[in-house]
Amino acid sequence: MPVSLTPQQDLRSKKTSPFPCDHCGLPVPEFRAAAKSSGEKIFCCEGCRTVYQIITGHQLEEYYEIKKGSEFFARSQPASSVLSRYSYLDEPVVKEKLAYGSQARCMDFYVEGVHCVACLWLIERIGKLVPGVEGVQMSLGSMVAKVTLKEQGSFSSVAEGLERIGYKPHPVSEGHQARDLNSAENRREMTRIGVAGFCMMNIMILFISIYAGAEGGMLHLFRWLSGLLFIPVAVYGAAPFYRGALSSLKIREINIDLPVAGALLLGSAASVWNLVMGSEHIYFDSLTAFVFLLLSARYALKTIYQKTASQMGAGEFLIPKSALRWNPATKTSEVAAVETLLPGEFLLIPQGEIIAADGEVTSGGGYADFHMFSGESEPVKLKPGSKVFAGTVNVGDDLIIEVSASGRQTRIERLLESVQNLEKPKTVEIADAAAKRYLAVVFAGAAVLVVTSQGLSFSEAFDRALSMIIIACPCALALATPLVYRMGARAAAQRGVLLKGVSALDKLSRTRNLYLDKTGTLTYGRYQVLSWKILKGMDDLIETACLLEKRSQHPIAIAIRDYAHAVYPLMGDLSLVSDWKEVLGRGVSGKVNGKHYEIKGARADTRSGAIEASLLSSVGIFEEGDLKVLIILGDKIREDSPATAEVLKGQFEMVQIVTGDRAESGAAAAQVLGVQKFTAEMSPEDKRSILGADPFSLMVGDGANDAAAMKAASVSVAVQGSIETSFQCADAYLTTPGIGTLPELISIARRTRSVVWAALLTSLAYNLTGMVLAILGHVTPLVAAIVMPLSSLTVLVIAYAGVNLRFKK
Amino acid sequence: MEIIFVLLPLALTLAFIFLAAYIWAVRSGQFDDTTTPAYRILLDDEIATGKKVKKPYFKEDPQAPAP
Repeated sequence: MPVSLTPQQDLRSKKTSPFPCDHCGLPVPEFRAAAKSSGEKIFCCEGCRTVYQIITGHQLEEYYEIKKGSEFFARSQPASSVLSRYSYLDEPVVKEKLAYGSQARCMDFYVEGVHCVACLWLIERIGKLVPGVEGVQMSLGSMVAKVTLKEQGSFSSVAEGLERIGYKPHPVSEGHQARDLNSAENRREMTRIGVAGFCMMNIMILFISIYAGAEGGMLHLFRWLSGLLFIPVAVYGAAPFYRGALSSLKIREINIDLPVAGALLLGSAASVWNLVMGSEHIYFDSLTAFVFLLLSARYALKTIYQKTASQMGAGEFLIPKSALRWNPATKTSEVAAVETLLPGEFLLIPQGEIIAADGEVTSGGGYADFHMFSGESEPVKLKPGSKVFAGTVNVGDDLIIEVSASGRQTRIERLLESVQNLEKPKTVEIADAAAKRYLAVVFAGAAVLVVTSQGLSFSEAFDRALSMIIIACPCALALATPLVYRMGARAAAQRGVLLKGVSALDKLSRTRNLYLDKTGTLTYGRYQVLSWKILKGMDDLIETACLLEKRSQHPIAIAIRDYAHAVYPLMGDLSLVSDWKEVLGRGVSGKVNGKHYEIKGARADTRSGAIEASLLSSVGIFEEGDLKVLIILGDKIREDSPATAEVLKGQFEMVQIVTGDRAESGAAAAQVLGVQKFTAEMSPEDKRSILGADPFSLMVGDGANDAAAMKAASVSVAVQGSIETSFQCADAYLTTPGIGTLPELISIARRTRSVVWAALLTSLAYNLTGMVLAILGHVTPLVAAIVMPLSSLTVLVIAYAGVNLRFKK
Repeated sequence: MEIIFVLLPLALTLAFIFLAAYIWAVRSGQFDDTTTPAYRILLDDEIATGKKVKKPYFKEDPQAPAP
């Protein structure tokens, strides 16, 4: 699954009713639920209503019947009412890149928002909404829909149709070739397994007769026939092992194919020799079983690997696929695919859109939300010459930018690429090193066994040595650990956590003491209205305040607007305001209903003993110069922080709040969270020395202000802040605000580690017991050939079940 | 015992036919997506007239005795 970056959450839907939305099933806000009593359908948002109308309008209401009974993935999303443009999909340049098949009529889309079989049903019937669709094939495993068009169809209309019914299609770029290659390889491997299985079963039947005591001519017939059936296995079935062993020899490093190929070649040579000589010791049955089971085990492993790798990169969701190319000569814009943008071209970025490429502002002066890069949640004022980056949102007026980098060259893409730290977890390194030495020991042991065998015939000693090599293959040892780590990393990604390589999980699992930063981590890190006091008159002036602040991007204005929208969701007719003016650093003023209003700083009444009065800001609404309403704003502790802290207290030996803030506010936070220990008024150096002294410390904070402390801590997790600076010092980055996902991340890390150890110990126990038994002659090569791949499979099952059952979301 | 000279080739040929069928199935892509078909089978085919199909899916049996 991709990292879930929720679409614009409707700020207004705060007060909810107990009724579910008739489209998406989420709770409906109170002000929309009124129609329920009169038997009408109710919806959580306009997007869902529209989608419902489209679906019922095309006689597709069966969708809701199917949906009722299916709980494939129990999650749903409200439909977005903002539609994107897809006309760029029909441009020849883009089609050449994305479309394939005969006459380029096929295109693959990764479809966001698919959660059950009803969605599958609906998506495959998109042809009812959009003309010119030949067919749609959707795979629930990969969430990819393959769209085939008729001659007159267009990809843009299909994409728009999908979006209209509430799914967000992302055209899959470059992927289909890789996927074709991949599925071709999968098919080759399945064929190989089939052939090996066919030969194995027939050889087994023949060997049953041999073991049962066939004699004379019959015995010869069976022996030679099984030898014949062994040829395809030895030549075709086992080819991947020979290849692996060869490449291992070339780079002079022992890998797991080497003992496999060694055992196969030794066994085949001995079998053929004995077949010709008429000796009893032939191993066709053991060797084919060995090849068949190993191929199957590897295929199973590969399938799991591919599943974990099929998630889309986070970057795919952060950057839009299309942009408006601006023509400065004609002052017009056209939709263009991001892939076609070149440095030096101009882009028009309308208000509220995500910027699609890095560049420089040439005209217009909005605000952009740079929090991913700067860590500041406050939007940054832009002026001509300011640099902007792909993935950030233009929250102010329309902008024109000159592109400096696009596609893979943008800052965010390069960043995400560099974060893919390839450092191996310590446990994996240990396991790898152990596996290599262990192999050398096994080969030496086998040789010694054959040479020094006393009282045994040569063939008997060879039997034992062969069994030992086969049973000692440390497949599980070498394969299981990386798999478990990858699955752990995937589980983390599903919860919106970006990791600096899988080794971060290993490090996280070793921590015992938790240090939490306060501002921005436990709190929102921005202004919120805490109280709204009417000083004079009856009117609360909320609507007036909202109208006046509507056009300002000051953090206080945003706070007031959010507050107003939570109370009165449907308002804001800007035409009521005249004479509007914003003075930076002072406030806003304007005329509403003929009266002059001003919102600006006002002194709070400190006599009321307001908590930490100096930490709070207060503004007043002045009507004709008369202070009517006093608004107090401050940085609130996140609603979910106390509950999360409660869980974290159970997970760690010690939880401590470290803040640079004043002692009173540190104490207040500690009290709300029920945390015993806190240290306040800490300079970054103080924080660093505390964390540096603790070898089991985990620091959670924002990546910019706490960089020094986070570097000093043995492990650190960044919350919000900027990805770029965060990853210089942090090992993980939570994309969701607050620390809500932290307890899950910790338990994922710890369980990953315990599953790794369980897998390692099981496989070690298997191999050692098997080897001892083989040396003592209790294991025939056939038994060894069956037990060895089975041991790998057992370990894989432990790994897969251990990680998956616990982390399933 | 001579029957074995008939049986052996017969058995091998039969098994080979199954192998060939399997290889054909693999090559034609029947194993490429193993998740979706299991769900797709729950969905009814559309009725050619395009009329609304009122058919309950997964609904509990109204005749079932109360617990």
